[in-house]
Amino acid sequence: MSENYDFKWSDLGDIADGRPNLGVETTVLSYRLMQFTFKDVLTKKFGAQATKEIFVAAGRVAGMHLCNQMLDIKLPPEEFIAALQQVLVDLKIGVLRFEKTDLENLTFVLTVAEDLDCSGLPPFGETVCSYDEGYIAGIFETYLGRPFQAIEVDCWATGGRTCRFEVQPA
Amino acid sequence: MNDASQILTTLSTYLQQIMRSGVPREPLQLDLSDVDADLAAICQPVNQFLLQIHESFQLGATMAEGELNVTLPRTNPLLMPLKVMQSNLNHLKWQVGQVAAGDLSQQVRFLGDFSACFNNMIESLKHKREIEQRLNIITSVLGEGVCLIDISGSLSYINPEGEKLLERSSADLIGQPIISIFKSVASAPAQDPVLNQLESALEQGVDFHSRDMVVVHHSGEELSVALEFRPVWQDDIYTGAVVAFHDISAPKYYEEQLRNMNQQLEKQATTDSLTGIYNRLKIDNLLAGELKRALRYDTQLAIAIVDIDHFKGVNDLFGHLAGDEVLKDFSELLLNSLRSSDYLGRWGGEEFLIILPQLNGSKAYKVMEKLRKLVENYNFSVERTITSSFGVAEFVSSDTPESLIGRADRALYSAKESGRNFVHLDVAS
Repeated sequence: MSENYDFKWSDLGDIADGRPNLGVETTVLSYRLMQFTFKDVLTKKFGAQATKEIFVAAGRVAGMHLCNQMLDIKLPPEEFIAALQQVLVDLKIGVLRFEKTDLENLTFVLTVAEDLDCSGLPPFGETVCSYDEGYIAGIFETYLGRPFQAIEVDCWATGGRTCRFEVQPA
Repeated sequence: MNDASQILTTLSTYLQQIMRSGVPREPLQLDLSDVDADLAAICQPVNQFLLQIHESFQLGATMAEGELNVTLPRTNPLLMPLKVMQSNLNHLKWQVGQVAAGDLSQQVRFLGDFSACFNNMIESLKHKREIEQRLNIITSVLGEGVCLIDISGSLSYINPEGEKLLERSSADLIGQPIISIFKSVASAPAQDPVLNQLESALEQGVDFHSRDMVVVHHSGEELSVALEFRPVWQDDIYTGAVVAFHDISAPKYYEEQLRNMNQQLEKQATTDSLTGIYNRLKIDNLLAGELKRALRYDTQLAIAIVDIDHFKGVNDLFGHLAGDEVLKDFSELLLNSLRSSDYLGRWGGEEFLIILPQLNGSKAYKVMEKLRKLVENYNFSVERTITSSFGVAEFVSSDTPESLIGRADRALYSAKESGRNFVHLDVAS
């Protein structure tokens, strides 16, 4: 792998071909094991804030690629939201629900229940879904064509039962 | 009783009260000021828990009243189920707003009965929208204006073709009374019988049809329309009506043209082109009809055949154009002197047939005698006295048109034989 790696969707490979018996899906446990061990190493090497920024940045790349590969960005907002909800359920990432949408000011409040990153975590006293923040921002950015930021305001790890994000132009 | 027992007794009393009638308005806090430090340390989390119970109950009550924007503190784990409910209800509130704005692409997932209920509603609305879209397509394809009328007689829907015909937008028309949109070709609304019929059909819920309606555009121009009114009854309850209408201004124009053309053709087929009186075909038909009438009602009838004397000489001396003028003046003179119930037709070149209903032979003779004198004394356009001979016959029950004309013709021959300018009554009558 070169020093500066640029992610491409095709780098994910042909999973079905490569896993004829185990299939295309894996467990939440293995996902979290990878993510939290990354956190372990990264925080020690770069500090908590830098690690959070790395996760947000990685999540944004993922969100942008997912949006381009699995969603039709030409759909009108209502249909795009419905399609996005379906994709997140299909990929077992979480149950996306909207609580507020202001299409004039492009501000949104949304929740992700049964979130892949945090649902069921012990309370850490702080939000932990940095990857999700970037992921959501990346999707909105790709669909609406301008930079967005998503801030997690409630998280399972802060005593919530669902993750709540406030999304707005960056 | 020691401090611990007293605290437990207070707690027990409070819990019993909660179990009996809910959490009191004021939270219970154990008074730890006079107890020893160890006991106070043990009781501290109890006091915190009592506050959390109170907070959960109060916030639950607030949300139960519909206040969904209440802030649920992160530090109270008893609020966790309430947080789930709050987020679900907020989402449902958003979904309802989306549906109200026409977004039917949303689904509620993983919320049990809520999901089933909401998603069924979406399916039902999608079905309804599909029907509306089909209705729109059908009514557009029809090329007919279609509108729905509610029970109050106001317009609740109109298709694009209807908007086009009325030259008004749907937004402008919705809510307008149907009787303010259409009027009949007749006069003012108050005396408009067709509009009154439409109003009556609207009140009673019965069918109505008219080809005599118009719509008035903003420009003041009127468009003739045919209108069909059909009431809608659901479970024996009159719920409104469907009104269909289409432009008939072109058919109306062509109908008018056709009517004029037919009138002209009929006139041409029955009129002598030179004199403007009935031609041979028409006067023959009239004679046959009058014979039947006289026979059926046993009434009198007489006819006369009139011939202009020496008419060939007029043509030879003055030319055919002058002869034509004589024929025209002659027929006009006779026509103006007969009753409106009599018939005059050109029988041949200079021969005319007069039908005189409800007149016997002798009276007919007198009338013809008067005509003969009129002709004799009339100044025709040629410098020559024009005279005429009359053969009169009275109808008898055994007569056919041919036999009656035959007798009149014989009488005319007799008049000519008598030296012309003479009236002769058929002796058989």
